[in-house]
Amino acid sequence: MDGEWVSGLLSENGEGGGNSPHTNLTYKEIFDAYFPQYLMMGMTADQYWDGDVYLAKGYREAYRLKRKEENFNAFLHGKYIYAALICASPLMRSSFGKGKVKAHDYLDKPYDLFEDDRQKTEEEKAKKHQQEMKEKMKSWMSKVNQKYKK
Amino acid sequence: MAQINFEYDGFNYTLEYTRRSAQALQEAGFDDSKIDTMSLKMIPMLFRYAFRAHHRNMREEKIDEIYEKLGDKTELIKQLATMYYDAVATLADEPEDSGKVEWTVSG
Repeated sequence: MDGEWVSGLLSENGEGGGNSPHTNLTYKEIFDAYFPQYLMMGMTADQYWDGDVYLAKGYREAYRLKRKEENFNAFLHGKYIYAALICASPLMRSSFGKGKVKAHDYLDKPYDLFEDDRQKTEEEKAKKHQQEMKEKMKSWMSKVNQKYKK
Repeated sequence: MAQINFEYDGFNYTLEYTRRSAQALQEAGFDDSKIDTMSLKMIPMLFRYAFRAHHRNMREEKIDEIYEKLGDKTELIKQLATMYYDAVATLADEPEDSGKVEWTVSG
Protein backbone atom coordinates (compact mmCIF):
# COMPACT_ATOMS: atom_id res chain seq x y z
CA MET A 1 0.00 0.00 0.00
CA ASP A 2 2.86 2.41 0.77
CA GLY A 3 3.77 4.90 -1.89
CA GLU A 4 1.93 3.35 -4.81
CA TRP A 5 -1.55 4.57 -3.95
CA VAL A 6 -0.28 8.01 -3.10
CA SER A 7 1.07 8.64 -6.58
CA GLY A 8 -1.29 6.35 -8.52
CA LEU A 9 -4.18 8.72 -8.96
CA LEU A 10 -2.15 11.59 -10.33
CA SER A 11 -0.37 9.53 -12.98
CA GLU A 12 -3.08 7.12 -14.16
CA ASN A 13 -4.87 9.39 -16.61
CA GLY A 14 -1.78 11.45 -17.24
CA GLU A 15 -2.48 12.92 -20.67
CA GLY A 16 -1.91 16.42 -19.31
CA GLY A 17 -4.19 19.27 -20.42
CA GLY A 18 -7.66 19.55 -18.94
CA ASN A 19 -8.25 21.36 -15.75
CA SER A 20 -5.76 19.55 -13.51
CA PRO A 21 -2.00 19.49 -13.67
CA HIS A 22 -1.63 15.79 -14.47
CA THR A 23 -5.03 14.30 -15.11
CA ASN A 24 -8.42 14.95 -16.57
CA LEU A 25 -9.95 14.79 -13.10
CA THR A 26 -11.11 17.97 -11.43
CA TYR A 27 -9.46 19.27 -8.26
CA LYS A 28 -12.57 18.28 -6.33
CA GLU A 29 -12.34 14.68 -7.55
CA ILE A 30 -8.65 14.46 -6.72
CA PHE A 31 -9.00 16.07 -3.28
CA ASP A 32 -11.99 13.90 -2.38
CA ALA A 33 -10.16 10.75 -3.47
CA TYR A 34 -7.07 11.50 -1.38
CA PHE A 35 -8.93 12.82 1.64
CA PRO A 36 -9.59 9.48 3.45
CA GLN A 37 -6.00 8.40 2.93
CA TYR A 38 -4.63 11.52 4.59
CA LEU A 39 -7.15 11.17 7.44
CA MET A 40 -5.80 7.66 7.95
CA MET A 41 -2.27 9.08 8.17
CA GLY A 42 -3.39 11.33 11.02
CA MET A 43 -4.04 14.61 9.23
CA THR A 44 -7.11 16.51 10.44
CA ALA A 45 -9.82 17.69 8.04
CA ASP A 46 -8.90 21.29 8.83
CA GLN A 47 -5.25 20.69 8.00
CA TYR A 48 -6.18 18.97 4.75
CA TRP A 49 -8.66 21.52 3.43
CA ASP A 50 -7.61 24.80 5.01
CA GLY A 51 -4.04 24.28 6.17
CA ASP A 52 -0.65 24.54 4.53
CA VAL A 53 -0.74 22.28 1.44
CA TYR A 54 2.89 21.24 2.01
CA LEU A 55 1.93 19.54 5.29
CA ALA A 56 0.80 16.57 3.19
CA LYS A 57 4.42 15.78 2.35
CA GLY A 58 5.33 15.65 6.05
CA TYR A 59 2.43 13.37 6.86
CA ARG A 60 3.33 11.07 3.99
CA GLU A 61 6.94 10.81 5.12
CA ALA A 62 5.89 10.28 8.76
CA TYR A 63 3.51 7.54 7.64
CA ARG A 64 6.30 5.87 5.69
CA LEU A 65 8.58 5.95 8.74
CA LYS A 66 5.80 4.57 10.91
CA ARG A 67 5.22 1.68 8.48
CA LYS A 68 8.96 1.02 8.39
CA GLU A 69 9.09 0.87 12.18
CA GLU A 70 6.04 -1.42 12.33
CA ASN A 71 7.68 -3.70 9.81
CA PHE A 72 10.89 -3.77 11.83
CA ASN A 73 8.96 -4.53 15.03
CA ALA A 74 7.15 -7.41 13.34
CA PHE A 75 10.49 -8.76 12.14
CA LEU A 76 11.99 -8.45 15.63
CA HIS A 77 8.98 -10.17 17.13
CA GLY A 78 9.46 -13.07 14.73
CA LYS A 79 13.14 -13.24 15.59
CA TYR A 80 12.41 -13.55 19.33
CA ILE A 81 9.80 -16.24 18.67
CA TYR A 82 12.29 -18.11 16.51
CA ALA A 83 14.95 -17.88 19.26
CA ALA A 84 12.43 -19.18 21.82
CA LEU A 85 11.53 -22.12 19.56
CA ILE A 86 15.18 -23.04 19.13
CA CYS A 87 15.71 -22.95 22.92
CA ALA A 88 12.65 -25.14 23.46
CA SER A 89 13.42 -27.53 20.60
CA PRO A 90 15.18 -30.18 22.80
CA LEU A 91 11.95 -30.49 24.80
CA MET A 92 10.00 -31.09 21.61
CA ARG A 93 12.40 -33.84 20.59
CA SER A 94 12.30 -35.49 24.05
CA SER A 95 9.09 -37.34 23.32
CA PHE A 96 11.02 -39.43 20.75
CA GLY A 97 14.17 -40.11 22.81
CA LYS A 98 15.09 -41.40 26.18
CA GLY A 99 16.55 -39.76 29.22
CA LYS A 100 16.10 -36.37 30.75
CA VAL A 101 16.23 -33.48 28.28
CA LYS A 102 16.73 -29.86 29.20
CA ALA A 103 15.78 -26.81 27.17
CA HIS A 104 18.51 -24.40 26.10
CA ASP A 105 18.65 -21.14 28.00
CA TYR A 106 16.72 -18.30 26.42
CA LEU A 107 18.54 -15.06 25.55
CA ASP A 108 19.65 -13.38 28.77
CA LYS A 109 19.16 -9.90 27.30
CA PRO A 110 17.36 -8.33 24.33
CA TYR A 111 19.10 -8.00 20.95
CA ASP A 112 21.34 -4.99 20.67
CA LEU A 113 19.50 -2.81 18.16
CA PHE A 114 22.43 -0.48 17.71
CA GLU A 115 25.12 -3.12 17.31
CA ASP A 116 25.80 -2.15 13.68
CA ASP A 117 26.38 1.50 14.61
CA ARG A 118 28.70 0.51 17.44
CA GLN A 119 30.57 -1.88 15.16
CA LYS A 120 31.06 0.90 12.61
CA THR A 121 32.48 3.20 15.30
CA GLU A 122 34.92 0.50 16.40
CA GLU A 123 36.04 -0.04 12.81
CA GLU A 124 36.56 3.68 12.34
CA LYS A 125 38.62 3.83 15.56
CA ALA A 126 40.76 0.90 14.42
CA LYS A 127 41.32 2.54 11.01
CA LYS A 128 42.32 5.82 12.65
CA HIS A 129 44.72 4.02 14.96
CA GLN A 130 46.24 2.15 12.00
CA GLN A 131 46.72 5.40 10.12
CA GLU A 132 48.46 7.00 13.12
CA MET A 133 50.79 4.04 13.46
CA LYS A 134 51.59 4.27 9.74
CA GLU A 135 52.46 7.96 10.09
CA LYS A 136 54.70 7.29 13.09
CA MET A 137 56.45 4.49 11.24
CA LYS A 138 57.00 6.72 8.22
CA SER A 139 58.55 9.50 10.25
CA TRP A 140 60.73 7.03 12.14
CA MET A 141 61.91 5.47 8.83
CA SER A 142 62.76 8.85 7.34
CA LYS A 143 64.77 9.72 10.46
CA VAL A 144 66.67 6.44 10.23
CA ASN A 145 67.33 6.96 6.51
CA GLN A 146 68.66 10.46 7.13
CA LYS A 147 70.99 9.15 9.85
CA TYR A 148 72.49 6.50 7.54
CA LYS A 149 72.88 8.94 4.62
CA LYS A 150 75.22 10.98 6.73
CA MET B 1 4.76 26.74 3.21
CA ALA B 2 4.37 29.09 0.25
CA GLN B 3 2.73 32.43 0.85
CA ILE B 4 2.90 35.90 -0.66
CA ASN B 5 3.05 38.69 1.91
CA PHE B 6 2.74 42.43 1.42
CA GLU B 7 1.50 45.56 3.12
CA TYR B 8 -1.12 47.81 1.57
CA ASP B 9 -2.88 50.79 3.10
CA GLY B 10 -1.53 49.96 6.57
CA PHE B 11 -2.71 46.35 6.52
CA ASN B 12 -0.65 43.18 6.18
CA TYR B 13 -1.90 40.71 3.59
CA THR B 14 -1.07 37.05 3.11
CA LEU B 15 -1.96 35.28 -0.09
CA GLU B 16 -2.04 31.50 -0.05
CA TYR B 17 -3.74 28.61 -1.80
CA THR B 18 -5.29 25.93 0.38
CA ARG B 19 -7.04 22.92 -1.13
CA ARG B 20 -10.40 24.51 -0.38
CA SER B 21 -9.59 27.78 -2.16
CA ALA B 22 -7.90 26.00 -5.09
CA GLN B 23 -11.03 23.88 -5.55
CA ALA B 24 -13.25 26.95 -5.30
CA LEU B 25 -11.19 28.71 -7.97
CA GLN B 26 -11.51 25.79 -10.36
CA GLU B 27 -15.23 25.48 -9.71
CA ALA B 28 -15.60 29.18 -10.51
CA GLY B 29 -14.36 28.43 -14.02
CA PHE B 30 -10.61 28.84 -13.75
CA ASP B 31 -8.84 26.70 -16.30
CA ASP B 32 -5.06 26.65 -16.02
CA SER B 33 -4.69 25.20 -19.51
CA LYS B 34 -6.17 28.42 -20.95
CA ILE B 35 -4.13 30.81 -18.86
CA ASP B 36 -2.30 32.16 -21.95
CA THR B 37 -5.31 32.71 -24.17
CA MET B 38 -7.75 33.93 -21.56
CA SER B 39 -5.32 35.80 -19.36
CA LEU B 40 -7.51 38.89 -19.04
CA LYS B 41 -10.13 36.89 -17.19
CA MET B 42 -8.06 34.10 -15.65
CA ILE B 43 -5.22 36.01 -14.05
CA PRO B 44 -7.33 38.38 -11.92
CA MET B 45 -9.31 35.29 -10.84
CA LEU B 46 -6.13 33.53 -9.79
CA PHE B 47 -5.19 36.61 -7.76
CA ARG B 48 -8.65 37.08 -6.23
CA TYR B 49 -9.04 33.54 -4.90
CA ALA B 50 -5.62 33.64 -3.24
CA PHE B 51 -7.17 36.03 -0.66
CA ARG B 52 -9.73 33.44 0.45
CA ALA B 53 -7.55 31.57 2.93
CA HIS B 54 -6.66 34.62 5.08
CA HIS B 55 -8.95 37.46 3.99
CA ARG B 56 -12.20 35.78 3.11
CA ASN B 57 -14.41 38.86 3.30
CA MET B 58 -12.39 41.17 1.10
CA ARG B 59 -14.36 43.12 -1.47
CA GLU B 60 -13.54 42.36 -5.12
CA GLU B 61 -13.01 46.03 -5.94
CA LYS B 62 -10.43 46.32 -3.17
CA ILE B 63 -8.62 43.21 -4.43
CA ASP B 64 -8.59 44.54 -7.98
CA GLU B 65 -7.27 47.87 -6.70
CA ILE B 66 -4.41 46.07 -4.93
CA TYR B 67 -3.70 43.99 -8.02
CA GLU B 68 -3.31 47.11 -10.13
CA LYS B 69 -0.75 48.53 -7.74
CA LEU B 70 1.41 45.45 -7.13
CA GLY B 71 4.77 45.37 -8.90
CA ASP B 72 6.53 42.52 -10.74
CA LYS B 73 3.30 40.95 -11.98
CA THR B 74 5.03 38.27 -14.04
CA GLU B 75 6.71 36.84 -10.95
CA LEU B 76 3.51 37.32 -8.93
CA ILE B 77 1.41 35.31 -11.41
CA LYS B 78 4.10 32.63 -11.65
CA GLN B 79 4.13 32.27 -7.86
CA LEU B 80 0.34 32.19 -7.62
CA ALA B 81 0.12 29.54 -10.36
CA THR B 82 2.72 27.43 -8.53
CA MET B 83 0.78 27.72 -5.27
CA TYR B 84 -2.45 26.73 -7.05
CA TYR B 85 -0.75 23.78 -8.72
CA ASP B 86 0.91 22.67 -5.47
CA ALA B 87 -2.49 22.19 -3.82
CA VAL B 88 -2.71 19.04 -5.95
CA ALA B 89 0.95 18.28 -6.60
CA THR B 90 1.81 17.98 -2.89
CA LEU B 91 -0.57 15.03 -2.59
CA ALA B 92 1.70 12.73 -4.57
CA ASP B 93 5.35 11.79 -4.46
CA GLU B 94 7.94 13.25 -6.78
CA PRO B 95 9.45 10.67 -9.15
CA GLU B 96 12.60 8.95 -7.87
CA ASP B 97 15.81 10.75 -8.86
CA SER B 98 16.76 7.98 -11.28
CA GLY B 99 13.42 8.24 -13.10
CA LYS B 100 13.35 12.02 -13.32
CA VAL B 101 13.40 13.67 -16.74
CA GLU B 102 15.57 16.79 -16.73
CA TRP B 103 14.25 19.94 -18.42
CA THR B 104 15.60 23.37 -19.31
CA VAL B 105 14.18 26.76 -20.20
CA SER B 106 15.01 28.31 -23.55
CA GLY B 107 14.05 31.33 -25.61
